[in-house]
Amino acid sequence: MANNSDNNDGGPIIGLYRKQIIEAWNQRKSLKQIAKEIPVPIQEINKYLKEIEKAVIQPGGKSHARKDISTRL
Amino acid sequence: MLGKTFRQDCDPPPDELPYLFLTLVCEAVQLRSRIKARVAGLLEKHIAFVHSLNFRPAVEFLSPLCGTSKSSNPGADRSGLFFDSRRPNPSAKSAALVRRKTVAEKQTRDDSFHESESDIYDLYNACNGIVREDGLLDIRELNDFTPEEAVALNVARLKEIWTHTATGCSRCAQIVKILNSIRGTLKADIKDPSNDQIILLDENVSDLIS
Repeated sequence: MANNSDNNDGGPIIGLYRKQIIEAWNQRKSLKQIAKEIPVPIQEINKYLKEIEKAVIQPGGKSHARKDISTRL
Repeated sequence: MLGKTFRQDCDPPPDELPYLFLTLVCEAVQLRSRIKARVAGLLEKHIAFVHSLNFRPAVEFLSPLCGTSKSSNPGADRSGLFFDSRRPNPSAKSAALVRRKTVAEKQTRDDSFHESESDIYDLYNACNGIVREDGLLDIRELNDFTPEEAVALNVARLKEIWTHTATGCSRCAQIVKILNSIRGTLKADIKDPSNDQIILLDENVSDLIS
């Protein structure tokens, strides 16, 4: 596990790897595996994934997703 | 009423005694009818009130009056008026209260899992979304973390959350199901990562989220 993250709030460092994290999650890689590939603490990766998962599932996620699709695809 | 009345403080003439007796009998019968009607009216109001308290069918109370009782109560099989001595069952009330309290406590316990810092999302990530045949996340995945990772991810709490899901929580089960459905279909827009619009869903996937 990498330890070069100097922030605890999903700030600049994890920001560099957001796309990579989502792609790895899409490929059904485990949290442990993602943490090996990306130099960000495992809890930060988990925290970021959790934000995304909640954004999708929580009320409004569906309508938001549809609006997003209609305006951006 | 018969036209003639008699004073009770003086003796009637002997020849009028049969007439007096007949008059009294008639008055008694009429009085009895009025009393019976009045009592029946009051009883009906009482029954309606009791029924509104404990939702028992009113016909159950009226049956002695209607002469259609099928009760095993000996008094119910005789003609006449019978009062329902039953009151709203205090034990039924307390049972309902206990039931409400139990449901409230369960809701509170569930909320402690759904709204805590560590929740089903953390458990899903830690278990990599692997679901066993019984529909629960594979808790064995939690044993693969190093001690440092276990502390960082609060695996002890995740095990408690897994125990909660094992109680059959439909909310947690639904979240796991949706996450497994959408996994592999997300796309990222890294230009605006802090915005909600980082997520784009394929159209066929958005229908899965409800």
